[in-house]
Amino acid sequence: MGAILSIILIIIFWFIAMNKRLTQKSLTTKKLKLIFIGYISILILGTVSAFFLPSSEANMMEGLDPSGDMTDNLFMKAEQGEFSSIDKQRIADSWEYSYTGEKLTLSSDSYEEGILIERTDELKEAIEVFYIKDWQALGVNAAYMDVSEYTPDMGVELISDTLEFVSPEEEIIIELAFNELGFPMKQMIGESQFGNGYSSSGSRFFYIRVPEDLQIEFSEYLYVDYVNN
Amino acid sequence: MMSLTKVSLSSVVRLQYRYKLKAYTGVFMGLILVQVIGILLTLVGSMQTSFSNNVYTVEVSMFSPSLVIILTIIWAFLNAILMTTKAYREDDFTFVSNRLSYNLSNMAFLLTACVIGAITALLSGGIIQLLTYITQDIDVFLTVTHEVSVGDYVAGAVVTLLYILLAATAGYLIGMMTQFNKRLIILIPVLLIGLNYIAQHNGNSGFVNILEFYFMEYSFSLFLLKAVVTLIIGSGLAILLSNRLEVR
Repeated sequence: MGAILSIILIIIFWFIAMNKRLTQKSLTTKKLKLIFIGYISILILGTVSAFFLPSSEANMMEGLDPSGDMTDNLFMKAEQGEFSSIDKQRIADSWEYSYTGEKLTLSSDSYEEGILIERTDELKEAIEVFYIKDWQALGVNAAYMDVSEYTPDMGVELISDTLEFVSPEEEIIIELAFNELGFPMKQMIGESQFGNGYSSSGSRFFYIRVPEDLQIEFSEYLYVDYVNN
Repeated sequence: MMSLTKVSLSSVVRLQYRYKLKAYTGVFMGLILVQVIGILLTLVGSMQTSFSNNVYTVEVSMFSPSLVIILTIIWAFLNAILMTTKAYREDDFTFVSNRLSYNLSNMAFLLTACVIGAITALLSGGIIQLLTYITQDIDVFLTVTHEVSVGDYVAGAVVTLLYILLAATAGYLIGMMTQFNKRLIILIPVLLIGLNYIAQHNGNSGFVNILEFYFMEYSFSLFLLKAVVTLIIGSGLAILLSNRLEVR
């Protein structure tokens, strides 16, 4: 911001120095007219072309308070045994494995979000895995934009007696460009000119349903919790 | 030699206005320069927000015509000041004119320049979007269109013009004040900074209050009212001051 302000100040001083006479004529009126018409034509052409550029509608989040309200937190809901009440659209992926072993090991090289385990007598010799993905908000000045649809999903693989949480091989960088409205437009749609939003995540976790008597082992680096039945 | 031809005020104003449109070409060249710099700065120094974990990084670069609009506002402010300087005032004595026709033609010229400035500043959004698309390695281009109605766009365009006009009026008034008394060139900034310092020292927000008065007004009709009243008061004061300037 400081650099931008400095540049603006330099422009101002330069502008004052150069414009001692607004009527100075180093170019003929005809040439000046041509330059001006050319500039406006480029702007109009740019505006018309911009309508045909491929773009997606940004998913702006209204009334998000990332610092507070946890009542809608999907992880907490599931932890309290309310998994069935979670909107099915929030289940990004699911897997079902038949499993006859007595012990299951959870493993991952890079997964660092939550894992929730539900022991149930409804399952016999089977494991169900769900990947739950909620919003991923990024602060855009004073507003928030949900970018969860562009983030990659995690996967799982059952190899022998190990359930491996698989992430993309390399860290993915997702480059998005957001064409913001000019500040007078934002003012008229009621968006504040001031304020800095920050990034905030909803819930992203694996929900695993296992037979009641299955023994679970996992590394201390994994954040594993059990459903309060 | 005395002229017996009676010339109406409106025809003198029209004549001076046409002269200024043709003569003050530097104003429009300055506008192009300032806006091109604004567009380039927007492309180079876009704001970024990001989120990262060890699986992925989401980076969002934000582009908007706001910087171009701000630079256009500064351009209007500076040009209005320059128009009040002695050299320009003397240009008008090539016509049979008075202070009122001088002020009215200046204001008509500034209004025209501000309308052109506002239109080109708003149009810069399209070229910024196009150049971003061409020059940056972007996976997805996001826009906000669904929640913005045509009415919002029109209101935003009018508000943009009003901000530029407010800046021009402020520049014109400050210019007239400094022509009235040269010492005000130093006194005005000292007074403004001093008063702001005292206000902030006493727990008041100082200039922030003035900024909030306009920038935090979300009702279009109220903003229009505030801006129009400010423009009338500012222009009226400038005309009053110029009437008290010494004659040539």
